Amino acid sequence: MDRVVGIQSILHSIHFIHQNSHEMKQSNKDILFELLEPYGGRFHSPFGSLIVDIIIIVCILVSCLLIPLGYYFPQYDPFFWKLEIGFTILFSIEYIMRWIVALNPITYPFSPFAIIDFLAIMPTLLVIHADYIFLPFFRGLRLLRLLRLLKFIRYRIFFYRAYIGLKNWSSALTHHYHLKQMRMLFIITLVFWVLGANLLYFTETRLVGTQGPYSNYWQSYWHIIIVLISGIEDKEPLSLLGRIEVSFFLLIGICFAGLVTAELVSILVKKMNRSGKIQLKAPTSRLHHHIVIISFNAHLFNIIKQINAAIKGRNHVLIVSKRGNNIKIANPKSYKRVSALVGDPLNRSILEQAWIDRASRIIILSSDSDEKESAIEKDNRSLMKAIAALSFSPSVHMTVELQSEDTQRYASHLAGVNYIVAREFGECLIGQAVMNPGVTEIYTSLMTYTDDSSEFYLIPVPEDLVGKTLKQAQLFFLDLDDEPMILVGIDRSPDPFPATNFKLNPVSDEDGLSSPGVILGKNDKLIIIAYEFPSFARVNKDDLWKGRILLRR
Amino acid sequence: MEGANSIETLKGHVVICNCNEKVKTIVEELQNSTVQAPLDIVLIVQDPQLWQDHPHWHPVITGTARFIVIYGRPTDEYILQKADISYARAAIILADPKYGKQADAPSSLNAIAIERANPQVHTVMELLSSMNRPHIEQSEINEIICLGEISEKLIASSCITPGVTNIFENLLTTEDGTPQIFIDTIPQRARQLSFRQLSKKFILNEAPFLLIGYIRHLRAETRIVINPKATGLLNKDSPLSGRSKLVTMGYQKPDFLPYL
Repeated sequence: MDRVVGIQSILHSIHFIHQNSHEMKQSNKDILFELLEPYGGRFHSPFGSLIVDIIIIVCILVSCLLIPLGYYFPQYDPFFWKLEIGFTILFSIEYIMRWIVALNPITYPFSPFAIIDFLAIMPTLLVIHADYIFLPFFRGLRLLRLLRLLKFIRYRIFFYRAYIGLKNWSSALTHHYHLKQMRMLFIITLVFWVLGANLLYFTETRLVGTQGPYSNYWQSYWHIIIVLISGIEDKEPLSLLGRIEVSFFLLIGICFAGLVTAELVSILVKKMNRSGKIQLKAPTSRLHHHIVIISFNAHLFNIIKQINAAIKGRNHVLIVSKRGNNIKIANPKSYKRVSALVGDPLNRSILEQAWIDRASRIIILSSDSDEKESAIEKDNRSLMKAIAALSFSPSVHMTVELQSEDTQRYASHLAGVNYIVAREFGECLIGQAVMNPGVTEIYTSLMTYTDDSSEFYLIPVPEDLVGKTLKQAQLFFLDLDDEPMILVGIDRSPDPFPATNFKLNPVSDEDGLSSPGVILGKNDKLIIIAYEFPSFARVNKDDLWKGRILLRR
Repeated sequence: MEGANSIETLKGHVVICNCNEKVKTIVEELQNSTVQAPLDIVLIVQDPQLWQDHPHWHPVITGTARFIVIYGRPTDEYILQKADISYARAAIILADPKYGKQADAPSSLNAIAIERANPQVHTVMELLSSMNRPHIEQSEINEIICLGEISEKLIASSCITPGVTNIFENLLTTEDGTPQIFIDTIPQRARQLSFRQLSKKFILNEAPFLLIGYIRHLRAETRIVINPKATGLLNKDSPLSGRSKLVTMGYQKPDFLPYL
């Protein structure tokens, strides 16, 4: 009897696996949904979603531009109207598709975004029938098309990112090329230009009438700009006062020319001096969801290489160090999203400049600047940096490299910080290499991020597996061929402290994680070996928004 | 040359060349393993003063397994013979602190001398600079462990998946109640079965270990496949040959037969 029940339960497991593996596969509806969702950058959004966003934004802008164009160029009105019909058809298709893929199609038309989408197409649909119903309001209805600007609300994150990106780019440019001085020179030149042109115009018209070259208001602008930029007199004023004024502007022009040349040379020299070195972060540029590496040692470059391999350069990496100015890089291409901030990491203003409170991760490396320092001294210095960083961002995930196991013991009071003492791992690995020859390669493979190697990931239990046994879940993952993964354990740690209460390959009744009968709960996390963070894993939007999760795709 | 303990004929023991702060943990780990029988260990120390000046490097011997210290050069054939290298199962070459950051060269020479004395011995070498790895990989040394590399990989892993270091720590320690990764030859009965079929059997039969991958010899190349994909040359449905090895995660050395 027991045997029959056993077989039945196995058959049930297999049926469940087949049923769910089909459900788990991404349907066309899911793909369409992801394409229509605003592009989230480092999130799961496919790149096609960005293209769809750009197309829709351009269509909104062009369709709104048609309204003033229709007023200014009435002769092209029929053509503009055809374009408008085209845009309306496009927005109508978008509206219908969003409705189709909506999670709840019944309530969707009453959601705020659906109402906005409807308002975007409604005025044109009404105008089409205006001859019959709304003729008196025809022009007003056409203006209502501007309501589609409201559609931009959906793309607010896109615009915010574009704004931040542009701001960072311009401030980085200003900082690297010392454009601040150039900007100052440009403003002063502009002031002198306007001042000079007006002064000469009024002097000449008042003293010599309309005969002189400066008697034409706009012409005097041309002459003065030549004087200021080239330092050469363009046209001679007729009055003595005018000549004195031009002489003054000539002197100013010579100074400007010299200053501009000097600035350009300085920019070129600075650029040459910095070649082969890491780019510096502009003090004013803003960062968020970035990875901060405090201090540096010989491990830095391989850590950056690993991080870049893992997250494909999606998150900016910022190195904060007193020696940040001198970090040399071999391959600038792989350091496009890496910059350095020069300064003491214990200085609060430096940490503020590093936007440490907005960072997704913080890594504190054991500094090798002073070779005479003992391991304990180095560790204490690292711990002080950890405390300083935590005072800005208490909930950030932090990894601290330590030299001594003794330090790790007393440092464990800093909750939520991961400490790495390489020696400890090395000793264990040497021992295991003797007992299980070849095992080091397995560990190396599990620790290395490449497209062709698997790593450990912690994922929430998929909704379909809640209430199932660990055995059922293991069988389910074994047959999940689209995204190969192996379920190796359960994590029941509180959210801020992952992998502090977990069991790998649970076989005993310890900790209530007995296998294979353990029932997976909604708050449990699964420890899996996978090539990438699984696409079906439930991800908390708040965690994503706050950058607590770094995804590889 | 001086022997701290009397040396008798040893077999299946481990020879450790050079001493540094890692000796204590390694010896205690090997002699107190819950997974397998304690191992006899011979430590070859080149500088007796260094060893005597650091009593905190000395392991605490509690079990029946022997710990023997021999003073002399690990490259010396006579010293290696005295350590019964011909009968040793493994040799660990640690970085000698007296050479500072340049210890990789003498360590490599030690390893080569050991490989010449007994090509069958499994050599594990501690490397200081990861830059030297490609050169040393060309030699006969079986496993190279670089602490710097481990540190780099663990820091990056911990940054991407917070908490993952605890998982590695759990796997690497040999304390009772912690799992380990094992590599074992595929049993006769499991030959020609695929990873998927074997995994399914082990899960359904409630085996106390998990199959996480396999090692296959493909022409002259050895390929490690962890979490095999559904497609590709070595996938989860490829039949496993007799020379294949299974990679498992468990609390004890796995016994496959009852679960097949």
